[in-house]
Parts: sequence; structure tokens; C-alpha cells
Amino acid sequence: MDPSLPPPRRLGYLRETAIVFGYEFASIWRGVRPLSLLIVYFLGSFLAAGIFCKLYKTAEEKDMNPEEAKVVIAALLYSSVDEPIEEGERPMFDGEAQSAPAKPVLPKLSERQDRAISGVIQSTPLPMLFVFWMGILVTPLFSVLMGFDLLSGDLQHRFVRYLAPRLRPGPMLLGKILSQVAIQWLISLFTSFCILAYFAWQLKGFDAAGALVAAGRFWSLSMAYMATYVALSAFLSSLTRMPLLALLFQLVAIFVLWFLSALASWPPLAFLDYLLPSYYKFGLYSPDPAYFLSSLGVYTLFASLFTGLAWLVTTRRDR
Amino acid sequence: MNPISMRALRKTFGRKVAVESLSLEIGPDQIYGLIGPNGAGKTTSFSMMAGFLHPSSGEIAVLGCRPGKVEALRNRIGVLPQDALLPAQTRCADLLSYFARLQGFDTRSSRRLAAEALERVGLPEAGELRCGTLSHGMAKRIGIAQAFLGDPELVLLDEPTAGLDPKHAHQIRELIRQQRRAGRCIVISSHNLHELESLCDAAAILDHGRLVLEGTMATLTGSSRQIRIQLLPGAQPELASLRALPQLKSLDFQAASGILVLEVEAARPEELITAALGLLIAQGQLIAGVSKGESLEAQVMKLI
Repeated sequence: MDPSLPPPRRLGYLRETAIVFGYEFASIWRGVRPLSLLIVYFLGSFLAAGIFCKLYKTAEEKDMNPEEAKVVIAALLYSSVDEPIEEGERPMFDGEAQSAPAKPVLPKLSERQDRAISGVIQSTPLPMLFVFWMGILVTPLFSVLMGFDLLSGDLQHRFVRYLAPRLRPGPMLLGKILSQVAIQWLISLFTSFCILAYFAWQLKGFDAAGALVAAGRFWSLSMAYMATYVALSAFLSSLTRMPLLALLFQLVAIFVLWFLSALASWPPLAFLDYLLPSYYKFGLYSPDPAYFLSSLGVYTLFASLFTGLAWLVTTRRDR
Repeated sequence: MNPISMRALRKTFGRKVAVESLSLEIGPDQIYGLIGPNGAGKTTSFSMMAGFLHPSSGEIAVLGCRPGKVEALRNRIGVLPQDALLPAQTRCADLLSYFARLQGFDTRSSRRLAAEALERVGLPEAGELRCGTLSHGMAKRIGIAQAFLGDPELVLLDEPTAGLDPKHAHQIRELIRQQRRAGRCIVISSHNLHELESLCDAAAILDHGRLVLEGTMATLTGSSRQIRIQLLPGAQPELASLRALPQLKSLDFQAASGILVLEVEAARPEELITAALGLLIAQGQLIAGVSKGESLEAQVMKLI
């Protein structure tokens, strides 16, 4: 080694994580996966956005009250439903709805959440709800497809053995997870802004300023939501050396989460909702700061829990 | 303190015992070989030293620390793992630079170290190539380059010249010798007994996960206690005068092959070689060759 070189420094946890983040971020971009997923997400989003615009315009043509239209479309987006939150929020189409029984709109597990969701619907421009909904919907699947081989790939090809003498498992996990989150976030952000531009072009009276404010709030903190699913992906990926098996684990995990969420609609099992990451998603675009922050905290906890589990597996397994 | 110390080390995979009761002390400033057939436990032992595998029981210390304790071993240990793939999309220089940064070097120094490392393994032009485009031999040399990156105190090499052409294998052996002269301890696991014999100061022979024999290369090959003189086939030397040589323990003559095997008690076998050759030449015998001890390969074949 050239004696003129400065001696190596002692690396702290943060610096080590930053080095891994930089390398992983660049490496992921070099692969074909981000571009492929960007294309799929982009096309899928625009297909859905086209359908949304059609629905929206149809509602306008029928002279539907904008507030009513908003609640109806929001209900379609959230596709859930037990009871109305408040009398005044029951969605009804002109003419038919006055005599029809009230249509339940949103799930009711806790009144606080109901109020928050109601607040979201009332305060957020409707197209933005669509954008948020798309982001929240695709994140789990996106995390699986982007990160199923996050650790299993390195284990399978034994690249992890080059890292073993140089890198602690903690910074390795954090660097990998954060780089995945950053890339997913950038892809989602790009697609969302394209959809917003499309709405601004297609929809009359589109509140671009309000949309941007809501988007800023949502996207600045949706990282915690993404981190939860990427960390779950990392944990499941750490369990096996075979990326395809890791992919299977993760698809099964998404199905199980969805199934538990469905089970939770049965009152005796309603408590299950509290254990599922999906339950707290409304908080991320809630205008209620307390609910927003508690939701953010819960996602941070979920992300930490899954990262911790991945760390436990990584430190105890043979490489 | 020895760079590597193992006591009663055991590793199992399910019911299969890969390494059993392995105790070894590997001293500083030497090239140490791990020898054995497939399934002998070489790579498993190597992997425990490198921190890739956790021992099932027993104790192991590398540079005084538990293997895998990165904070204590960072930049002090270099490892060439067997069959580990490099990331296909990454450029060689970027990869080496990444490794150097993980060893604590700043960005500028890392780039210089990466360039030096490529130069050292004879691949100065490969920096811009993506790892996925490298031939097996080139990838192996990149692997060796990263093992010596930052000049660590201890370097573990698993099959360092496997798959290399003779020229590059020679270059890597020279690099290993040069690093040893610089005071590094190098542990090599290999099937290539000729290479290990020429490189190593000491070695351990493993079989079925157990230590069969361990010692300096001179001890293992018997070079300090046995002299083999090759005469022409059919030669009939006068053995009585040879038997009268001082420091000779025993003498065996294999008439069919013309090989004289002299067991020595001397501290300096060279004196006996000179005396024995003097007698044989005086008898008019033609000498076809002289060697000390048996080849490592012959010794290993006897043991396993």
C-alpha cells in the first residue's frame, strides 16, 4: 500500500450505512428491475387514472354534487365498508339515493380512524386520493418485486462473503433497506406527479396547489410506510438462500396480511386489524396531525421490528 | 499471540459432521496450508476462520478476536472465498473502491487503492469492465486483489490459483510470496499439493473433518530426515561403505528403480548428502538426481 495514503478511519454505524446506501442505490439503478417496474407502474397507473377520469366526468355529467361524488369515488377506492361515519356523509346519487337506504362507506373499527378518514376525504382533492390510493396499493407488491432477493441474492451467490470481513450486518441491512425505499419512493413520486399532470390537463377546476400540498405531506412521510414493507421483504429474504423461495414467502405473506385483514372484518377478530400494517395507512394522508404522527410512529415501529428480525436472522445464520 | 487459534472446533450441518475436534495454532509471518481431499473439512475450517460459518462447538480466535467481529477485524483480515460471485453490473474499480471504503479509507484513497490492487494482480486495464464480463480467471484475480486490499495482517485464500492459466498462477504465487516477505500471515486452502509444497512454510492435513498431521513443510515431507538419491536403473552400488557414513540412521536401496533412500539423524543433512555423493561418484556411479524427503503429494497419499 502506498505509504502516502492516509490511514483508514474507524467507521461508525451511520457512515457504514451511508457507504452501503450509496453503493446499493447505484447498483439497483444499474439493473433492469427499477425501469421495468417503473414502466409497469406507470402504465398501470395511467390505465387506472383514465378510468378514474371517466368516472369523475360521468359524475359531473349527472350533475352529482361534488362532495357526494367525492365520497362515492373515495368509497370505491377504499372498497371497504360497514357503517356510515356520519349522517351527512352518506353518499347518494341524485334521485335514487334519497329513497334508498344509506350506503355504508368506510370501515368502523375506531371512531378516531373513521373521523380521520372522513377528514382525509373532505380535505384532500379527490384526484389526490386516487394518487395516494395507487401509491399505497402498489407499495407491498412493489417491495416484493424489487426486494425479494435483497439478502437471499447475496447469500445465493455468496457475494456476502466478500462483505463479511468488512461490513456489520446492521449497516448492511439498513443501507440495503434505505436504498430500496429511496428508489421505490422516487419511482412512486415520478409516477404520481405524472398522474397529477394528467389530471390537471383532463379535469376542469383541478386544484393543483391543494394537490401539491397534500402530495407533499403524503410523500414526505410515506417512506415509513414503504420502509415497513421493504423491511418485511428483507426479513423474509433473509430466511433463505434461494431468491425464488424468498419471492414465494413474500407473496404468501402479502396474501396472509390481506386474509387477516379480511378476517378482521368479523367483529370477534376485529382486534387483528391493529396488528396489520395496512390498518394504519389512512393516517399517512390524514390532516389530523395527531393521527398522522401516530400512524407514522406505528409504521416506524413495524419497519424497526422487521429490520430487527432480519438482523437477528442475519447475525445468526451461516453465510 | 498467534494470528489463528482453534481449540476442539466442531462444525456440523444437520447430522453430517464436517469438522471434528480440530485444534490448530497458526503462527505469524508464514504461509500456512490447509490440505485434504474433497470433503476433508478444509473449506469448512477456512469458512469458520473467515467468520462465514459459526462453529457448532469449540473455540476459535482470529487475531485475538471472534471471527466475524467486524469492528475489531476490519482492515486487518482479507479473505478470498471460494466460488463467491462478483456483482455482474458493477465495474471492477468501483467494486474494489467500495470494499476499500468499507475498510475505512476515504473516497480518494479508495480509488487509488483499487487501481493499485488491479495493478498488483496484472489487471490494470480492467477497472472499467463490469464484473459480469470477466472471464473466470480474471474474476479470480479480482477476488485476490480485494483480499490484499489495504494490506491486511492476515489473508485467507481459498483455492487462489484454481482456474488460472500457468502464467497468472505463477504471478499470484509470486504475489503471495511477496506478501509473506512483507510480514503477513497467509492461510491457503487448496487441492494443489505441488503449489502448497512450494509456497507454504507449514500445513495441516485434514481428512474426514479431522486433523491427520500438522507441522512445518520440512516435517511433513520428511526433507530434514530423508535423502533420496536416484541412480540409473540397474545400478549396483557398494552399500557397505555408505552404511558406514556417520549420522546415517538407515539405508534402503530399491534396485529396480535405482533409488537409494537414506534416513538421516543429522541436524544438517547436506553434509551427509555431500559425503554419500562423494562415495557414489568414487564408485563410478552416475547420479540422476537427489532430493530431500518425499513430495508432499506422496506423503499426503500415504496419510489419507
